[in-house]
Amino acid sequence: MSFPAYLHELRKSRRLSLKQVEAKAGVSNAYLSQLERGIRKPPHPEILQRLAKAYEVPVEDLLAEAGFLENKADKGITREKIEKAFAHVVSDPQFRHGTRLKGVKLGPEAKRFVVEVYEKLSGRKLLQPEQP
Amino acid sequence: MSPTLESYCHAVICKYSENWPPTEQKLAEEFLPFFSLTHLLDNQLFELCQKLGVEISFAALPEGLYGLNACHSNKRGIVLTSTEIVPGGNTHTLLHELRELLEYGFSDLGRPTVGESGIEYHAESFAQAARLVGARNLAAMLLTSAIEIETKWKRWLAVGGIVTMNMAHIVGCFMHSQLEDAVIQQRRKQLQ
Repeated sequence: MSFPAYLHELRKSRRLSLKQVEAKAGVSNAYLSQLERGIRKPPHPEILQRLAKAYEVPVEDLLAEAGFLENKADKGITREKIEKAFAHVVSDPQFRHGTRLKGVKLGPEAKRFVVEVYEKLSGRKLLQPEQP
Repeated sequence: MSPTLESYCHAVICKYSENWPPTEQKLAEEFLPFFSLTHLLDNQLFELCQKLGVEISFAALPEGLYGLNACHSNKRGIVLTSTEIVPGGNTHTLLHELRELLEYGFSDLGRPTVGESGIEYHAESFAQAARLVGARNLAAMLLTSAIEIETKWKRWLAVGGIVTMNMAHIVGCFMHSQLEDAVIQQRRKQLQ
């Protein structure tokens, strides 16, 4: 499914009008309409975050559909896998990491970024999507 | 020989060994000239990271996570958020992450400056201090040129403008963290 169609279906499934989404997400209804019709390119991740909150879906879903996440098969990577990979990563004595984190704990999404950086630096693959 | 993060750590340890650890202000004042940085604008920091072999990348990081650093064997990487909350945010975060990488260097040389639990606060202080040193250097550079302007009113106008802009920049550096928090709060309120 294309990103415009996905966005349209998402709004329809929540039974929300364009104006209602505008009020919830702070995204203009005209712009949203253009996105759903494919006239505009997928928006900046910050706008996707606002839409995710308005539609009550994980922002990763929108990022993946919009093509911001490198691997669309990311959906196959479970939270359990991420936690397991992260535990492996932090136990590696050759690996050190730090974050600039404010107001939140290091959640699964953030841990996943740490694992991906580990994979890049160490050359080891830890996160593989589940086979469909 | 090009300066490295390790050589910076060596130099700082030699200079401040009698009075260890140095303050973040001192570390920032040593950092900029050591790496031939002046004002931290125009991608100076990004070019420095390239020379140091620190790989910089951008990603749509989750809310609350502005950046992360990682080190494996001799490889280092920093990831920054692709959605800068406040202008200058990525410069601040990059300095924060570089400070954490420096702490690994100090630890490897047996001279850590902070315990593990305290690095966040120190890295934030370092980032702020480094940006302020950069602001001071920038103002000095601009004022040196401004006082050469022949026409008196133009000269005073230039000096006044530079001082005003620099003050605004300094306030921005001091208040950076609070500005980020305020923007996030505002966005959350808009969504409610």
